[in-house]
Amino acid sequence: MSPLLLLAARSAWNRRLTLGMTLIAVALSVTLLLGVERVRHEARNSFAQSVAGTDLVVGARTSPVQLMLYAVFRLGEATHNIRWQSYRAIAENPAVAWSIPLSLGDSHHGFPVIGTSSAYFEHFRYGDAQALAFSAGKPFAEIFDAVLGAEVAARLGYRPGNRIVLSHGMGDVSLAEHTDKPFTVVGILAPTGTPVDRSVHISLEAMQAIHLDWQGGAPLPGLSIPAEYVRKFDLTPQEITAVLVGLKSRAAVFKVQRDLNTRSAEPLLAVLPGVALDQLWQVVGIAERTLLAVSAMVVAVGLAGLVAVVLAGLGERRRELAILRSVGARPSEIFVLLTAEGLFVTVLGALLGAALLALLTALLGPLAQAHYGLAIRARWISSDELALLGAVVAVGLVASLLPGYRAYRISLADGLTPRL
Amino acid sequence: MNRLPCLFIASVCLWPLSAAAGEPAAHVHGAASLQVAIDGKNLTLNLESPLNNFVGFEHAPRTEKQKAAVRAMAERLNQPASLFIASPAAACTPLSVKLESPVLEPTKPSAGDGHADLDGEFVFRCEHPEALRALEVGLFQAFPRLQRVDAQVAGPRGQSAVRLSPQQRRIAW
Repeated sequence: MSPLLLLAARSAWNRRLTLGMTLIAVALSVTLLLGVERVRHEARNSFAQSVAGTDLVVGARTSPVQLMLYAVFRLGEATHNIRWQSYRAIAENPAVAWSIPLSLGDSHHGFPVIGTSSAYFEHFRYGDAQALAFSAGKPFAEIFDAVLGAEVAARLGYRPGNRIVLSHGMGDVSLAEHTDKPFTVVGILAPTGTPVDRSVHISLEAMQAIHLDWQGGAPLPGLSIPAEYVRKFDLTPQEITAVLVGLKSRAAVFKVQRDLNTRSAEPLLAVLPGVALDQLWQVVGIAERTLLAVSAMVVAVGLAGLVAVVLAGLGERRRELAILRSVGARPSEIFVLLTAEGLFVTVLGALLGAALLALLTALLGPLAQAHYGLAIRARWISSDELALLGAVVAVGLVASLLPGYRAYRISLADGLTPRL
Repeated sequence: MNRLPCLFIASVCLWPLSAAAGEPAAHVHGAASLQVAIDGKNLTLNLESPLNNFVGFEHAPRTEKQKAAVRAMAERLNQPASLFIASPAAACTPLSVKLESPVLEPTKPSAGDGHADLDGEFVFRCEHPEALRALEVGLFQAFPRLQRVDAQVAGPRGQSAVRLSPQQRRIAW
Protein backbone atom coordinates (compact mmCIF):
# COMPACT_ATOMS: atom_id res chain seq x y z
CA MET A 1 0.00 0.00 0.00
CA SER A 2 1.39 3.35 -0.97
CA PRO A 3 2.03 5.75 1.90
CA LEU A 4 -0.72 7.98 0.55
CA LEU A 5 -3.36 5.26 0.77
CA LEU A 6 -2.08 4.32 4.21
CA LEU A 7 -2.60 7.91 5.27
CA ALA A 8 -6.06 7.86 3.71
CA ALA A 9 -6.96 4.72 5.61
CA ARG A 10 -5.70 6.22 8.87
CA SER A 11 -7.69 9.37 8.18
CA ALA A 12 -10.82 7.38 7.43
CA TRP A 13 -10.33 5.36 10.62
CA ASN A 14 -10.20 8.66 12.46
CA ARG A 15 -13.69 9.42 11.12
CA ARG A 16 -14.92 5.85 11.62
CA LEU A 17 -18.18 6.77 13.30
CA THR A 18 -19.65 8.88 10.50
CA LEU A 19 -18.18 6.71 7.77
CA GLY A 20 -19.35 3.61 9.64
CA MET A 21 -22.92 4.86 9.76
CA THR A 22 -22.78 5.61 6.04
CA LEU A 23 -21.34 2.19 5.45
CA ILE A 24 -24.29 0.62 7.29
CA ALA A 25 -26.74 2.64 5.19
CA VAL A 26 -25.06 1.52 1.96
CA ALA A 27 -24.85 -2.10 3.15
CA LEU A 28 -28.54 -2.21 4.13
CA SER A 29 -29.63 -0.66 0.86
CA VAL A 30 -27.54 -3.21 -1.05
CA THR A 31 -29.10 -6.02 1.00
CA LEU A 32 -32.54 -4.76 0.07
CA LEU A 33 -31.68 -4.52 -3.61
CA LEU A 34 -30.11 -7.97 -3.73
CA GLY A 35 -32.88 -9.40 -1.55
CA VAL A 36 -35.60 -8.26 -3.94
CA GLU A 37 -33.70 -9.76 -6.84
CA ARG A 38 -33.03 -12.97 -4.91
CA VAL A 39 -36.64 -13.50 -3.84
CA ARG A 40 -37.84 -12.75 -7.36
CA HIS A 41 -35.42 -15.24 -8.84
CA GLU A 42 -35.98 -17.93 -6.24
CA ALA A 43 -39.76 -17.63 -6.43
CA ARG A 44 -39.62 -18.18 -10.17
CA ASN A 45 -37.21 -21.01 -9.75
CA SER A 46 -39.22 -22.67 -7.02
CA PHE A 47 -42.43 -22.41 -9.03
CA ALA A 48 -40.79 -23.64 -12.21
CA GLN A 49 -39.29 -26.62 -10.35
CA SER A 50 -42.73 -27.73 -9.26
CA VAL A 51 -44.30 -27.82 -12.71
CA ALA A 52 -41.30 -29.00 -14.71
CA GLY A 53 -42.51 -32.56 -15.17
CA THR A 54 -46.21 -31.95 -15.84
CA ASP A 55 -47.50 -31.35 -19.37
CA LEU A 56 -51.06 -30.37 -18.55
CA VAL A 57 -53.08 -29.50 -15.47
CA VAL A 58 -56.79 -30.19 -15.89
CA GLY A 59 -59.53 -28.91 -13.64
CA ALA A 60 -62.89 -27.19 -13.63
CA ARG A 61 -63.23 -24.17 -15.82
CA THR A 62 -61.66 -21.18 -14.09
CA SER A 63 -58.71 -18.89 -14.67
CA PRO A 64 -55.65 -20.83 -15.92
CA VAL A 65 -53.46 -19.25 -13.28
CA GLN A 66 -55.90 -20.03 -10.50
CA LEU A 67 -56.18 -23.65 -11.60
CA MET A 68 -52.43 -24.02 -11.66
CA LEU A 69 -52.01 -22.30 -8.30
CA TYR A 70 -54.42 -24.52 -6.43
CA ALA A 71 -53.63 -27.76 -8.22
CA VAL A 72 -49.84 -27.49 -8.18
CA PHE A 73 -49.03 -25.01 -5.42
CA ARG A 74 -51.96 -25.60 -3.04
CA LEU A 75 -52.51 -21.85 -3.02
CA GLY A 76 -56.10 -20.74 -2.97
CA GLU A 77 -59.16 -22.89 -3.38
CA ALA A 78 -60.85 -24.66 -6.23
CA THR A 79 -64.14 -23.16 -7.37
CA HIS A 80 -65.50 -26.46 -8.68
CA ASN A 81 -64.57 -30.09 -8.87
CA ILE A 82 -64.56 -32.33 -11.90
CA ARG A 83 -66.45 -35.60 -12.21
CA TRP A 84 -64.72 -38.95 -11.85
CA GLN A 85 -65.92 -39.93 -15.35
CA SER A 86 -64.08 -36.94 -16.77
CA TYR A 87 -60.93 -38.13 -15.05
CA ARG A 88 -61.38 -41.63 -16.47
CA ALA A 89 -61.81 -40.15 -19.96
CA ILE A 90 -58.58 -38.18 -19.59
CA ALA A 91 -56.70 -41.19 -18.23
CA GLU A 92 -57.84 -43.30 -21.20
CA ASN A 93 -56.94 -40.70 -23.83
CA PRO A 94 -54.42 -42.44 -26.12
CA ALA A 95 -52.07 -39.42 -26.06
CA VAL A 96 -51.85 -39.50 -22.25
CA ALA A 97 -48.89 -41.38 -20.77
CA TRP A 98 -49.86 -40.95 -17.13
CA SER A 99 -52.38 -39.02 -15.10
CA ILE A 100 -52.46 -38.20 -11.42
CA PRO A 101 -55.85 -37.42 -9.87
CA LEU A 102 -55.83 -34.89 -7.03
CA SER A 103 -58.52 -34.32 -4.47
CA LEU A 104 -57.98 -31.34 -2.19
CA GLY A 105 -59.84 -29.67 0.65
CA ASP A 106 -58.83 -31.27 3.95
CA SER A 107 -55.82 -30.38 6.04
CA HIS A 108 -53.64 -31.50 8.90
CA HIS A 109 -52.30 -28.77 11.19
CA GLY A 110 -52.54 -26.32 8.32
CA PHE A 111 -50.81 -28.60 5.84
CA PRO A 112 -52.96 -29.55 2.85
CA VAL A 113 -54.17 -33.14 2.56
CA ILE A 114 -54.13 -34.57 -0.95
CA GLY A 115 -56.16 -37.52 -2.02
CA THR A 116 -54.40 -39.17 -4.93
CA SER A 117 -53.49 -42.52 -6.43
CA SER A 118 -50.25 -44.49 -6.35
CA ALA A 119 -49.49 -42.94 -9.77
CA TYR A 120 -48.40 -39.89 -7.78
CA PHE A 121 -45.33 -41.63 -6.39
CA GLU A 122 -44.62 -43.31 -9.68
CA HIS A 123 -45.01 -40.49 -12.20
CA PHE A 124 -44.80 -37.17 -10.45
CA ARG A 125 -41.67 -35.33 -11.57
CA TYR A 126 -40.15 -32.14 -10.26
CA GLY A 127 -37.09 -30.06 -11.07
CA ASP A 128 -34.93 -31.67 -13.69
CA ALA A 129 -37.20 -34.71 -14.21
CA GLN A 130 -36.53 -36.04 -10.71
CA ALA A 131 -38.89 -38.64 -9.31
CA LEU A 132 -40.18 -38.57 -5.74
CA ALA A 133 -38.03 -40.55 -3.32
CA PHE A 134 -38.86 -41.88 0.13
CA SER A 135 -36.62 -40.93 3.02
CA ALA A 136 -38.47 -43.46 5.16
CA GLY A 137 -41.25 -46.00 4.67
CA LYS A 138 -43.20 -46.70 1.49
CA PRO A 139 -46.26 -45.56 -0.51
CA PHE A 140 -49.71 -46.05 0.97
CA ALA A 141 -51.15 -49.55 0.60
CA GLU A 142 -53.87 -49.88 3.27
CA ILE A 143 -56.84 -47.57 3.19
CA PHE A 144 -55.92 -45.42 6.20
CA ASP A 145 -52.26 -45.02 5.29
CA ALA A 146 -50.72 -41.58 4.85
CA VAL A 147 -47.49 -40.43 3.23
CA LEU A 148 -46.04 -37.16 4.49
CA GLY A 149 -43.99 -34.54 2.73
CA ALA A 150 -40.57 -33.84 4.24
CA GLU A 151 -41.58 -30.49 5.71
CA VAL A 152 -44.72 -31.90 7.38
CA ALA A 153 -42.77 -34.70 9.01
CA ALA A 154 -39.94 -32.43 10.12
CA ARG A 155 -42.15 -29.72 11.59
CA LEU A 156 -44.59 -32.01 13.37
CA GLY A 157 -41.95 -34.57 14.30
CA TYR A 158 -43.70 -37.56 12.73
CA ARG A 159 -42.13 -40.90 11.99
CA PRO A 160 -43.57 -43.94 10.23
CA GLY A 161 -45.99 -45.66 12.56
CA ASN A 162 -47.40 -42.44 14.08
CA ARG A 163 -51.17 -41.99 14.08
CA ILE A 164 -52.55 -38.71 12.76
CA VAL A 165 -56.05 -37.21 12.60
CA LEU A 166 -57.04 -35.13 9.59
CA SER A 167 -59.13 -31.97 9.80
CA HIS A 168 -62.02 -31.13 7.58
CA GLY A 169 -61.33 -27.97 5.58
CA MET A 170 -58.35 -25.67 5.77
CA GLY A 171 -56.91 -23.66 8.61
CA ASP A 172 -54.86 -24.29 11.71
CA VAL A 173 -57.82 -24.39 14.05
CA SER A 174 -60.41 -26.65 12.57
CA LEU A 175 -64.00 -27.00 13.63
CA ALA A 176 -64.43 -30.56 12.47
CA GLU A 177 -61.94 -33.36 12.74
CA HIS A 178 -61.97 -36.85 11.34
CA THR A 179 -61.23 -38.28 14.80
CA ASP A 180 -63.09 -41.53 14.18
CA LYS A 181 -60.79 -42.48 11.31
CA PRO A 182 -57.15 -41.84 12.21
CA PHE A 183 -54.41 -42.45 9.66
CA THR A 184 -51.12 -44.24 10.08
CA VAL A 185 -47.98 -42.64 8.72
CA VAL A 186 -46.40 -45.23 6.44
CA GLY A 187 -43.96 -43.14 4.45
CA ILE A 188 -42.07 -39.88 4.46
CA LEU A 189 -40.86 -38.33 1.23
CA ALA A 190 -37.40 -36.89 0.74
CA PRO A 191 -37.27 -33.07 0.51
CA THR A 192 -38.02 -31.70 -2.95
CA GLY A 193 -38.17 -27.92 -2.45
CA THR A 194 -41.68 -27.99 -3.97
CA PRO A 195 -45.20 -27.90 -2.44
CA VAL A 196 -44.97 -31.70 -2.15
CA ASP A 197 -42.91 -31.13 1.00
CA ARG A 198 -45.91 -29.45 2.64
CA SER A 199 -48.48 -32.05 1.70
CA VAL A 200 -50.07 -35.01 3.44
CA HIS A 201 -50.89 -37.70 0.86
CA ILE A 202 -53.68 -40.20 1.27
CA SER A 203 -55.47 -42.41 -1.23
CA LEU A 204 -58.59 -41.22 -3.03
CA GLU A 205 -60.48 -44.10 -1.44
CA ALA A 206 -59.46 -42.91 2.01
CA MET A 207 -60.59 -39.40 1.11
CA GLN A 208 -63.95 -40.90 0.17
CA ALA A 209 -64.05 -43.10 3.28
CA ILE A 210 -63.51 -40.33 5.82
CA HIS A 211 -66.42 -38.42 4.29
CA LEU A 212 -68.81 -41.41 4.08
CA ASP A 213 -70.81 -40.40 7.12
CA TRP A 214 -70.56 -36.70 6.37
CA GLN A 215 -72.96 -34.45 4.60
CA GLY A 216 -72.86 -30.74 3.93
CA GLY A 217 -69.43 -30.38 5.50
CA ALA A 218 -70.34 -31.89 8.89
CA PRO A 219 -70.73 -35.38 10.34
CA LEU A 220 -74.27 -36.70 9.98
CA PRO A 221 -75.80 -36.78 13.47
CA GLY A 222 -76.56 -40.26 14.68
CA LEU A 223 -74.65 -41.90 11.85
CA SER A 224 -71.15 -43.15 12.35
CA ILE A 225 -69.52 -45.70 10.13
CA PRO A 226 -66.66 -47.36 11.99
CA ALA A 227 -63.33 -47.42 10.23
CA GLU A 228 -63.32 -51.20 9.90
CA TYR A 229 -66.54 -51.22 7.87
CA VAL A 230 -65.69 -48.62 5.24
CA ARG A 231 -64.36 -51.30 2.89
CA LYS A 232 -67.94 -52.50 2.46
CA PHE A 233 -68.86 -49.26 0.69
CA ASP A 234 -68.11 -48.25 -2.86
CA LEU A 235 -65.14 -45.96 -2.34
CA THR A 236 -64.83 -44.81 -5.93
CA PRO A 237 -64.76 -41.03 -5.70
CA GLN A 238 -67.60 -39.09 -7.27
CA GLU A 239 -65.46 -36.12 -8.07
CA ILE A 240 -61.90 -34.88 -7.81
CA THR A 241 -60.32 -31.45 -7.86
CA ALA A 242 -57.75 -31.61 -10.60
CA VAL A 243 -55.64 -33.93 -12.71
CA LEU A 244 -51.95 -33.70 -13.53
CA VAL A 245 -51.29 -35.12 -16.96
CA GLY A 246 -48.11 -36.34 -18.60
CA LEU A 247 -48.16 -36.95 -22.35
CA LYS A 248 -46.39 -39.50 -24.50
CA SER A 249 -45.19 -36.73 -26.77
CA ARG A 250 -44.61 -33.47 -24.96
CA ALA A 251 -45.25 -31.52 -28.16
CA ALA A 252 -48.74 -32.98 -28.59
CA VAL A 253 -49.77 -30.82 -25.66
CA PHE A 254 -51.55 -28.15 -27.73
CA LYS A 255 -53.69 -30.73 -29.49
CA VAL A 256 -54.63 -32.56 -26.28
CA GLN A 257 -55.32 -29.23 -24.60
CA ARG A 258 -57.67 -28.26 -27.43
CA ASP A 259 -59.41 -31.63 -27.25
CA LEU A 260 -59.93 -31.42 -23.50
CA ASN A 261 -61.11 -27.83 -23.61
CA THR A 262 -63.60 -28.30 -26.41
CA ARG A 263 -64.68 -31.93 -26.58
CA SER A 264 -65.13 -32.98 -22.96
CA ALA A 265 -68.52 -33.92 -21.60
CA GLU A 266 -68.28 -31.34 -18.82
CA PRO A 267 -66.62 -27.95 -19.13
CA LEU A 268 -62.96 -28.56 -18.33
CA LEU A 269 -59.93 -26.36 -18.45
CA ALA A 270 -56.58 -27.79 -19.44
CA VAL A 271 -53.61 -25.49 -18.99
CA LEU A 272 -49.94 -25.80 -19.82
CA PRO A 273 -48.46 -25.13 -16.38
CA GLY A 274 -45.24 -23.69 -17.81
CA VAL A 275 -47.20 -21.32 -20.00
CA ALA A 276 -49.60 -20.29 -17.22
CA LEU A 277 -46.59 -19.65 -15.00
CA ASP A 278 -44.97 -17.40 -17.60
CA GLN A 279 -48.26 -15.55 -18.00
CA LEU A 280 -48.35 -15.12 -14.24
CA TRP A 281 -44.83 -13.68 -14.30
CA GLN A 282 -45.81 -11.33 -17.10
CA VAL A 283 -48.41 -9.91 -14.73
CA VAL A 284 -46.30 -10.02 -11.58
CA GLY A 285 -43.37 -8.59 -13.55
CA ILE A 286 -44.81 -5.10 -13.24
CA ALA A 287 -44.84 -5.33 -9.45
CA GLU A 288 -41.39 -6.90 -9.48
CA ARG A 289 -39.93 -4.10 -11.55
CA THR A 290 -41.55 -1.55 -9.25
CA LEU A 291 -40.00 -3.24 -6.22
CA LEU A 292 -36.63 -3.37 -7.91
CA ALA A 293 -36.92 0.29 -8.85
CA VAL A 294 -37.79 1.23 -5.27
CA SER A 295 -34.84 -0.69 -3.88
CA ALA A 296 -32.58 0.89 -6.51
CA MET A 297 -33.79 4.27 -5.26
CA VAL A 298 -32.91 3.23 -1.72
CA VAL A 299 -29.39 2.44 -2.90
CA ALA A 300 -29.25 5.86 -4.58
CA VAL A 301 -30.29 7.46 -1.28
CA GLY A 302 -27.58 5.50 0.53
CA LEU A 303 -24.93 6.62 -1.95
CA ALA A 304 -26.17 10.22 -1.80
CA GLY A 305 -25.72 10.02 1.96
CA LEU A 306 -22.20 8.76 1.43
CA VAL A 307 -21.36 11.66 -0.88
CA ALA A 308 -22.89 14.11 1.59
CA VAL A 309 -20.81 12.72 4.46
CA VAL A 310 -17.56 12.84 2.51
CA LEU A 311 -18.36 16.34 1.23
CA ALA A 312 -19.27 17.57 4.68
CA GLY A 313 -16.03 16.10 5.97
CA LEU A 314 -14.07 18.16 3.46
CA GLY A 315 -14.69 21.34 5.41
CA GLU A 316 -13.20 19.82 8.54
CA ARG A 317 -10.33 18.33 6.59
CA ARG A 318 -9.04 21.49 4.94
CA ARG A 319 -6.07 21.49 7.26
CA GLU A 320 -5.41 17.80 6.71
CA LEU A 321 -5.45 18.24 2.97
CA ALA A 322 -3.31 21.36 3.14
CA ILE A 323 -0.71 19.45 5.17
CA LEU A 324 -0.75 16.66 2.66
CA ARG A 325 -0.19 19.22 -0.09
CA SER A 326 2.64 20.85 1.87
CA VAL A 327 4.48 17.54 2.22
CA GLY A 328 4.33 17.01 -1.52
CA ALA A 329 0.95 15.48 -2.45
CA ARG A 330 -0.17 16.63 -5.87
CA PRO A 331 -3.75 17.88 -6.35
CA SER A 332 -4.39 14.82 -8.52
CA GLU A 333 -3.36 12.65 -5.58
CA ILE A 334 -5.80 14.50 -3.34
CA PHE A 335 -8.45 13.81 -5.98
CA VAL A 336 -7.63 10.09 -6.02
CA LEU A 337 -7.56 10.04 -2.23
CA LEU A 338 -11.09 11.37 -1.80
CA THR A 339 -12.53 9.35 -4.67
CA ALA A 340 -10.92 6.21 -3.28
CA GLU A 341 -12.49 6.87 0.09
CA GLY A 342 -16.01 6.98 -1.41
CA LEU A 343 -15.32 3.99 -3.61
CA PHE A 344 -13.90 2.03 -0.70
CA VAL A 345 -17.00 2.63 1.40
CA THR A 346 -19.22 1.63 -1.55
CA VAL A 347 -17.32 -1.59 -2.21
CA LEU A 348 -17.23 -2.48 1.46
CA GLY A 349 -20.96 -1.67 1.69
CA ALA A 350 -21.70 -3.91 -1.29
CA LEU A 351 -19.72 -6.77 0.22
CA LEU A 352 -21.31 -6.32 3.63
CA GLY A 353 -24.74 -6.15 1.99
CA ALA A 354 -24.13 -9.41 0.16
CA ALA A 355 -22.90 -11.04 3.37
CA LEU A 356 -25.95 -9.79 5.25
CA LEU A 357 -28.19 -11.21 2.55
CA ALA A 358 -26.48 -14.58 2.86
CA LEU A 359 -27.03 -14.47 6.61
CA LEU A 360 -30.68 -13.49 6.21
CA THR A 361 -31.44 -16.21 3.66
CA ALA A 362 -29.83 -18.78 5.92
CA LEU A 363 -31.92 -17.57 8.87
CA LEU A 364 -35.22 -16.74 7.16
CA GLY A 365 -35.14 -19.27 4.31
CA PRO A 366 -36.69 -22.07 6.39
CA LEU A 367 -39.40 -19.66 7.55
CA ALA A 368 -40.33 -18.70 4.00
CA GLN A 369 -40.38 -22.38 3.10
CA ALA A 370 -42.62 -23.24 6.03
CA HIS A 371 -45.09 -20.39 5.60
CA TYR A 372 -45.23 -19.82 1.88
CA GLY A 373 -43.71 -22.97 0.41
CA LEU A 374 -41.10 -20.75 -1.15
CA ALA A 375 -37.72 -22.44 -1.27
CA ILE A 376 -35.03 -19.79 -0.89
CA ARG A 377 -31.72 -21.57 -0.81
CA ALA A 378 -28.59 -20.03 0.59
CA ARG A 379 -26.24 -19.94 -2.38
CA TRP A 380 -23.50 -17.98 -4.03
CA ILE A 381 -24.23 -14.72 -5.76
CA SER A 382 -25.77 -15.23 -9.18
CA SER A 383 -24.58 -13.43 -12.29
CA ASP A 384 -27.63 -11.16 -12.21
CA GLU A 385 -26.88 -10.20 -8.63
CA LEU A 386 -23.24 -9.67 -9.53
CA ALA A 387 -24.37 -7.29 -12.28
CA LEU A 388 -26.45 -5.38 -9.72
CA LEU A 389 -23.47 -5.21 -7.35
CA GLY A 390 -21.31 -4.00 -10.21
CA ALA A 391 -23.86 -1.30 -10.99
CA VAL A 392 -23.88 -0.20 -7.34
CA VAL A 393 -20.08 0.06 -7.28
CA ALA A 394 -20.05 1.91 -10.62
CA VAL A 395 -22.62 4.43 -9.37
CA GLY A 396 -20.65 4.72 -6.11
CA LEU A 397 -17.49 5.47 -8.09
CA VAL A 398 -19.20 8.14 -10.19
CA ALA A 399 -20.76 9.67 -7.07
CA SER A 400 -17.37 9.68 -5.30
CA LEU A 401 -15.86 11.71 -8.13
CA LEU A 402 -17.79 14.68 -6.80
CA PRO A 403 -16.03 14.97 -3.40
CA GLY A 404 -12.78 14.11 -5.19
CA TYR A 405 -13.20 16.93 -7.63
CA ARG A 406 -14.22 19.31 -4.88
CA ALA A 407 -11.14 18.41 -2.81
CA TYR A 408 -9.00 18.85 -5.91
CA ARG A 409 -10.36 22.38 -6.41
CA ILE A 410 -10.02 23.28 -2.75
CA SER A 411 -6.48 21.98 -2.53
CA LEU A 412 -5.52 23.99 -5.60
CA ALA A 413 -6.99 27.16 -4.14
CA ASP A 414 -5.63 26.43 -0.66
CA GLY A 415 -2.18 25.95 -2.13
CA LEU A 416 -2.32 29.37 -3.70
CA THR A 417 -3.84 31.41 -0.90
CA PRO A 418 -1.49 32.17 2.00
CA ARG A 419 -4.45 32.72 4.34
CA LEU A 420 -4.54 29.24 5.82
CA MET B 1 -49.97 -15.59 8.46
CA ASN B 2 -51.53 -16.88 5.28
CA ARG B 3 -52.98 -13.55 4.31
CA LEU B 4 -50.21 -12.72 1.86
CA PRO B 5 -50.61 -15.62 -0.56
CA CYS B 6 -54.38 -15.15 -0.53
CA LEU B 7 -54.11 -11.49 -1.44
CA PHE B 8 -51.60 -12.37 -4.07
CA ILE B 9 -53.86 -14.98 -5.57
CA ALA B 10 -56.86 -12.71 -5.48
CA SER B 11 -55.00 -10.00 -7.30
CA VAL B 12 -53.71 -12.44 -9.86
CA CYS B 13 -57.04 -14.09 -10.47
CA LEU B 14 -58.75 -10.78 -11.02
CA TRP B 15 -56.25 -9.95 -13.72
CA PRO B 16 -57.72 -10.60 -17.17
CA LEU B 17 -55.23 -13.14 -18.40
CA SER B 18 -55.54 -14.37 -21.92
CA ALA B 19 -56.93 -17.83 -21.31
CA ALA B 20 -54.64 -20.55 -22.51
CA ALA B 21 -57.70 -22.47 -23.59
CA GLY B 22 -58.20 -23.85 -27.04
CA GLU B 23 -61.58 -22.19 -27.33
CA PRO B 24 -62.16 -19.72 -30.10
CA ALA B 25 -59.54 -17.22 -29.08
CA ALA B 26 -60.53 -13.65 -28.39
CA HIS B 27 -60.62 -11.67 -31.62
CA VAL B 28 -58.40 -8.66 -31.02
CA HIS B 29 -57.17 -6.70 -34.00
CA GLY B 30 -53.41 -6.26 -33.82
CA ALA B 31 -52.93 -9.39 -31.72
CA ALA B 32 -52.30 -12.99 -32.72
CA SER B 33 -51.43 -16.22 -30.99
CA LEU B 34 -48.69 -18.62 -31.94
CA GLN B 35 -48.19 -22.14 -30.64
CA VAL B 36 -44.74 -23.61 -31.09
CA ALA B 37 -44.39 -27.36 -30.69
CA ILE B 38 -41.13 -29.25 -31.03
CA ASP B 39 -41.53 -32.98 -31.48
CA GLY B 40 -38.53 -34.98 -32.61
CA LYS B 41 -37.39 -33.39 -35.85
CA ASN B 42 -40.66 -31.56 -36.44
CA LEU B 43 -41.19 -27.95 -35.54
CA THR B 44 -44.89 -27.16 -35.80
CA LEU B 45 -46.17 -23.60 -35.60
CA ASN B 46 -49.86 -22.84 -35.25
CA LEU B 47 -50.79 -19.26 -35.92
CA GLU B 48 -54.22 -17.87 -35.11
CA SER B 49 -54.94 -14.28 -35.98
CA PRO B 50 -57.74 -11.93 -36.95
CA LEU B 51 -57.67 -11.54 -40.70
CA ASN B 52 -57.48 -7.78 -40.30
CA ASN B 53 -53.85 -8.08 -39.18
CA PHE B 54 -52.86 -9.40 -42.59
CA VAL B 55 -55.03 -7.63 -45.13
CA GLY B 56 -56.81 -4.82 -43.29
CA PHE B 57 -60.35 -6.10 -43.79
CA GLU B 58 -62.35 -9.16 -42.75
CA HIS B 59 -64.95 -9.59 -45.47
CA ALA B 60 -64.79 -11.35 -48.81
CA PRO B 61 -62.53 -9.28 -51.09
CA ARG B 62 -64.66 -7.02 -53.31
CA THR B 63 -62.35 -4.72 -55.18
CA GLU B 64 -59.34 -5.68 -57.27
CA LYS B 65 -57.14 -4.08 -54.64
CA GLN B 66 -58.58 -6.27 -51.90
CA LYS B 67 -58.24 -9.38 -54.04
CA ALA B 68 -54.60 -8.46 -54.65
CA ALA B 69 -54.10 -8.00 -50.89
CA VAL B 70 -55.44 -11.50 -50.21
CA ARG B 71 -53.19 -12.96 -52.92
CA ALA B 72 -50.17 -11.12 -51.54
CA MET B 73 -50.94 -12.38 -48.04
CA ALA B 74 -51.27 -15.99 -49.18
CA GLU B 75 -48.06 -15.70 -51.14
CA ARG B 76 -46.21 -14.28 -48.18
CA LEU B 77 -47.51 -16.86 -45.74
CA ASN B 78 -46.63 -19.65 -48.14
CA GLN B 79 -42.97 -18.74 -47.72
CA PRO B 80 -42.61 -19.58 -44.04
CA ALA B 81 -38.81 -19.66 -44.14
CA SER B 82 -38.76 -15.86 -44.24
CA LEU B 83 -41.46 -15.47 -41.57
CA PHE B 84 -40.10 -17.88 -38.97
CA ILE B 85 -36.33 -18.06 -38.67
CA ALA B 86 -35.20 -20.90 -36.44
CA SER B 87 -31.70 -21.27 -34.95
CA PRO B 88 -29.48 -21.72 -38.04
CA ALA B 89 -27.60 -24.61 -36.43
CA ALA B 90 -30.81 -26.64 -36.30
CA ALA B 91 -31.00 -26.63 -40.12
CA CYS B 92 -34.78 -26.35 -40.39
CA THR B 93 -36.52 -26.42 -43.74
CA PRO B 94 -40.22 -25.79 -44.41
CA LEU B 95 -42.19 -28.97 -44.89
CA SER B 96 -45.78 -27.81 -45.28
CA VAL B 97 -48.08 -24.83 -44.92
CA LYS B 98 -51.80 -25.03 -44.27
CA LEU B 99 -53.80 -21.83 -44.36
CA GLU B 100 -57.43 -21.56 -43.36
CA SER B 101 -59.53 -18.46 -43.77
CA PRO B 102 -62.92 -17.55 -45.25
CA VAL B 103 -61.27 -15.23 -47.77
CA LEU B 104 -59.22 -18.09 -49.15
CA GLU B 105 -62.35 -20.12 -49.82
CA PRO B 106 -64.66 -17.70 -51.63
CA THR B 107 -67.53 -20.20 -51.85
CA LYS B 108 -67.86 -20.39 -48.07
CA PRO B 109 -70.10 -17.72 -46.51
CA SER B 110 -68.27 -15.58 -44.01
CA ALA B 111 -69.00 -15.72 -40.29
CA GLY B 112 -72.12 -13.95 -39.10
CA ASP B 113 -70.53 -11.41 -36.76
CA GLY B 114 -68.48 -9.79 -39.51
CA HIS B 115 -65.18 -10.94 -38.05
CA ALA B 116 -62.93 -13.47 -39.67
CA ASP B 117 -59.72 -15.19 -38.68
CA LEU B 118 -56.76 -16.64 -40.41
CA ASP B 119 -55.38 -19.89 -39.06
CA GLY B 120 -52.09 -21.18 -40.31
CA GLU B 121 -50.13 -24.33 -39.63
CA PHE B 122 -46.47 -24.25 -40.59
CA VAL B 123 -44.39 -27.39 -40.26
CA PHE B 124 -40.62 -27.38 -40.46
CA ARG B 125 -38.24 -30.29 -40.44
CA CYS B 126 -35.07 -29.75 -38.48
CA GLU B 127 -31.99 -31.89 -39.06
CA HIS B 128 -30.53 -31.00 -35.68
CA PRO B 129 -33.49 -30.42 -33.36
CA GLU B 130 -31.20 -30.40 -30.32
CA ALA B 131 -29.69 -27.15 -31.65
CA LEU B 132 -33.13 -25.58 -31.98
CA ARG B 133 -33.06 -23.04 -29.19
CA ALA B 134 -34.72 -19.92 -30.58
CA LEU B 135 -37.14 -18.67 -33.18
CA GLU B 136 -37.21 -15.25 -34.75
CA VAL B 137 -40.71 -14.26 -35.80
CA GLY B 138 -40.69 -12.09 -38.93
CA LEU B 139 -44.45 -11.56 -39.09
CA PHE B 140 -44.16 -8.00 -37.81
CA GLN B 141 -42.15 -6.74 -40.77
CA ALA B 142 -44.31 -8.60 -43.25
CA PHE B 143 -47.60 -7.44 -41.72
CA PRO B 144 -47.23 -4.05 -40.02
CA ARG B 145 -50.79 -4.15 -38.64
CA LEU B 146 -49.68 -6.94 -36.33
CA GLN B 147 -48.59 -5.48 -32.99
CA ARG B 148 -48.55 -8.39 -30.58
CA VAL B 149 -48.09 -12.14 -30.76
CA ASP B 150 -48.70 -14.28 -27.70
CA ALA B 151 -46.42 -17.24 -28.22
CA GLN B 152 -46.52 -20.53 -26.32
CA VAL B 153 -43.75 -23.07 -26.61
CA ALA B 154 -43.85 -26.77 -25.76
CA GLY B 155 -40.85 -28.93 -26.41
CA PRO B 156 -38.44 -31.36 -24.84
CA ARG B 157 -37.03 -28.58 -22.68
CA GLY B 158 -40.37 -27.71 -21.14
CA GLN B 159 -43.02 -25.10 -21.67
CA SER B 160 -42.88 -21.34 -21.80
CA ALA B 161 -44.85 -18.34 -22.91
CA VAL B 162 -43.66 -15.02 -24.20
CA ARG B 163 -45.35 -11.95 -25.59
CA LEU B 164 -43.78 -10.80 -28.84
CA SER B 165 -43.91 -7.31 -30.28
CA PRO B 166 -42.22 -5.52 -33.21
CA GLN B 167 -39.39 -4.72 -30.77
CA GLN B 168 -39.20 -8.19 -29.23
CA ARG B 169 -39.42 -10.70 -32.06
CA ARG B 170 -37.36 -13.53 -30.67
CA ILE B 171 -38.50 -16.55 -28.69
CA ALA B 172 -35.76 -18.43 -26.92
CA TRP B 173 -36.13 -21.57 -24.83
